Amino acid sequence: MTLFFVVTLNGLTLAALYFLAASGFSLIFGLMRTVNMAHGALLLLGGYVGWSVADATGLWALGVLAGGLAAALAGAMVQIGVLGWMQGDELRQTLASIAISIILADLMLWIWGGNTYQVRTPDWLSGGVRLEMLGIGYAKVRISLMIFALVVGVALWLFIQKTRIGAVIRAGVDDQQMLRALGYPINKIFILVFAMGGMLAGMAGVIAGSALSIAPGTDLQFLLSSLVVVIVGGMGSVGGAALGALLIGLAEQYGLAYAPTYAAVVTFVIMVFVLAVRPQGLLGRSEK
Amino acid sequence: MKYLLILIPMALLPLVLNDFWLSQVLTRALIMGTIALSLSFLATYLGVVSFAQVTLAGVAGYAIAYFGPNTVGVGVPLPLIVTIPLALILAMAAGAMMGYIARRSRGIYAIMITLAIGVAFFYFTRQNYVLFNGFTGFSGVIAPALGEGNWGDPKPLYFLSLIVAAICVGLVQGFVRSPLGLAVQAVRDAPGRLLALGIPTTLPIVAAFAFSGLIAGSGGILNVWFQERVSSFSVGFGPIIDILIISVIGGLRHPTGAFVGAIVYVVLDIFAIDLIDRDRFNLLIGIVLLLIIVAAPNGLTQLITDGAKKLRGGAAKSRTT
Amino acid sequence: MPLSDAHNTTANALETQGIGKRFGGFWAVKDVTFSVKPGERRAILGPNGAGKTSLFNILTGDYKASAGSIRLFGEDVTKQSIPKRINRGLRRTYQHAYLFDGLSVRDTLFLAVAGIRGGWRQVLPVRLSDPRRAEAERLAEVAGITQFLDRMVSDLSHGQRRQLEIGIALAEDPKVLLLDEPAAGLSPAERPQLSKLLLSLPKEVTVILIEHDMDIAFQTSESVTVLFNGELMAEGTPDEVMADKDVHQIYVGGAHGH
Repeated sequence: MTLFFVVTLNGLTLAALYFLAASGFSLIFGLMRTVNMAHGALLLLGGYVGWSVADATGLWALGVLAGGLAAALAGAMVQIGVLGWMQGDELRQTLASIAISIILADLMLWIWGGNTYQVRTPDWLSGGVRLEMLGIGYAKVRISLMIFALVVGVALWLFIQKTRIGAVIRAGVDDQQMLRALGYPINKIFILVFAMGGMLAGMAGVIAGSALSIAPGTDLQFLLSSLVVVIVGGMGSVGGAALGALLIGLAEQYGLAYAPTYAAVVTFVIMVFVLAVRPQGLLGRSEK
Repeated sequence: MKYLLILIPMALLPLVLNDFWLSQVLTRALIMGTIALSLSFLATYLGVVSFAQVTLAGVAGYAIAYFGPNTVGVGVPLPLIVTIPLALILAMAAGAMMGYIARRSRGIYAIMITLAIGVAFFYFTRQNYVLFNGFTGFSGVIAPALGEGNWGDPKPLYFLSLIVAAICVGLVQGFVRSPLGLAVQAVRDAPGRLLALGIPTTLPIVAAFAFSGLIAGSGGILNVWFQERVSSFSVGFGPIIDILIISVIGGLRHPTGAFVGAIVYVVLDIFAIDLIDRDRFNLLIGIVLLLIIVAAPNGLTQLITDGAKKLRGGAAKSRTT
Repeated sequence: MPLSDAHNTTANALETQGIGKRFGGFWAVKDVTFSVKPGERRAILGPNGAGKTSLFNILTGDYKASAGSIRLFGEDVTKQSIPKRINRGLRRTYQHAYLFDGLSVRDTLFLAVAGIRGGWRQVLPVRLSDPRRAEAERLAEVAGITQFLDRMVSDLSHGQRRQLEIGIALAEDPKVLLLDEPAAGLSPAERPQLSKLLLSLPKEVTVILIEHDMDIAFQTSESVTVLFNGELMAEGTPDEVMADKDVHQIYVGGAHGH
């Protein structure tokens, strides 16, 4: 039973990370129909910058913030410099974002090398905590990660549902043309959304570097998980990203624990099954 | 026959080129070009950019390794006459399955799904030891014997790759003129209308993917003989992106452009060392890819065709004035 | 004739009994009962939003009927799938020409010939079979686009696309042809040509035509049905319908179909 609880908690930890990574990806896709293949690279960039800042200052929180801001800036630059010029040509945007992710990945390899980094967590996050109810101990940093993901999820949901900018973004998900016709500065909104997506990815990167570790390849891993999470959960919805992340995170950990040879296939089978039953994703709206 | 104009000089190249040029440049470009052809075929005629063509090539490559000679002691050796058709059939079956999974997805959705399939296969090969021998994969996969050497030697493999590439180009051109090929293009243009004519869209989609599996699988077999090994790295994100880059450079809407893209890619790969640090090849190829997408979204082939047209047009104009 | 067993000579070609289509609380088509005799040429008129295209969509199976029943040559087809109805000889054209832009006219007509009769099995052979190719060429001739057989559909003019639409609808022995505004978007010069094409359609084919161009409608049709707000309002010969008070009311009296 202990194993089951630990695996479940590991699954929830992973789900929290996947959610943080996928929510930005999903947000950008939902509003702009842009599949940002550089999302994983933005996440890794945030992680590296966060590690460097935390390492230099000894302030973990500052590292998270710096990582988020660096990725937000990079995301905005990607939209301003490249993708914004191809708005409406989705295939071209996708290909261009792949080129950007290759360039970013190599630049990061140049700067930070091929090492594995782990962001030092502050004392209040180090060590474990005894969960009496389940009769096991679990790392504080991982529990904090789950709480953080929950907070981010709720904040994102409130932002999109309750604020004016959120209303504009929601309208944009449904009808970009109309929004443009009504005179909203849609290009600025796009840049803002890209920066937000980058921010979420960057913070997820630092947190991934704290709870697990980051290295070249982490970008691809999180790009793939974000893809699968939004395919399963449904595009452009916070709830969809959360549900998808939960399903995939838990399935991966249960798979690893109980059927290690086929862990990669579990994710794949879930995706295929969802596509067969609901091509638009569990909580996604139909394209037509 | 404009293709003979290309084929005959290429068949004569071994007379003037050394083995390095033959193997590392031309054979490699032909093999990668064949795999990329399967991607450009889908992009041009079905309108779907698939990120899993390397996966299909890998299925055939793994089949050759598993059912043929290797030095890792995994697999069931079968006679060559069985192995090769089996590898191609498995690649086609994998393609058909992929097409069935992605049958309702178009555009960026199809990209995401095929990419997810490709990367999931990559992770699967790493975790599975029974069929794929895990992380390390198969080594010592020697090509069939030929006289004193084998088909993997520079000259034989070059000719073999040239012939296979030519056959694949011919197959693509035949396929798109067949009724099924017409239906594939009809799915690209107006799937609902095809349905209204009484032809379901699933069949052409699955057929197109299976056919692309045949092409990619052919390239995959050559590749495993060329490399003499196949492992998770052969089907990873790197090769997936390489093939995509080749297709984009050649022009996604120009099937034969895949070979143009492959030559450019291979030459860049080999001579990047003279331009920049060898380790920064990905930076170079990323920038090249970005430049192509920004400046010539239809690829080099279109650029060359347009340029030729302009030159000809300009010449005609100067004659009239 | 594989369909002759379903073909009852005394039955109407097409017959509806109280059919309707509801979207939420709104009836796009409501309680429409009408019948068309074999070989008849019928025009359907009505202002925008009267439910003409919706009626077509119910007849073809693109919409599931919310009420009523449809009979094709006496056979109840209300619950049949689109391909089944196509197989029974029911064909349509679309208001917005929705064609295979990347194929040639010849290949498009070939697919129409192959698909409609044989379904997916017909696309399996490696080569285009000669009888079907000949049939495709014959259709091009009937539709008056023989000279464009090898042109890409994307290179056709608007009028030629309309002709191709009709050519597709004529593939493989149609019995009832539903034409949705074939003249829409045509230039005045192209219109007489279309009239001529409609008049040259095989006599045994039943044609139901939605058309805003009254000249074309009255030239080619012997009877007229008028829809208004989704309901059947008038029916009769062109002269009778033109004399109908209600028809005058909706076209001249200022009431609109909204």
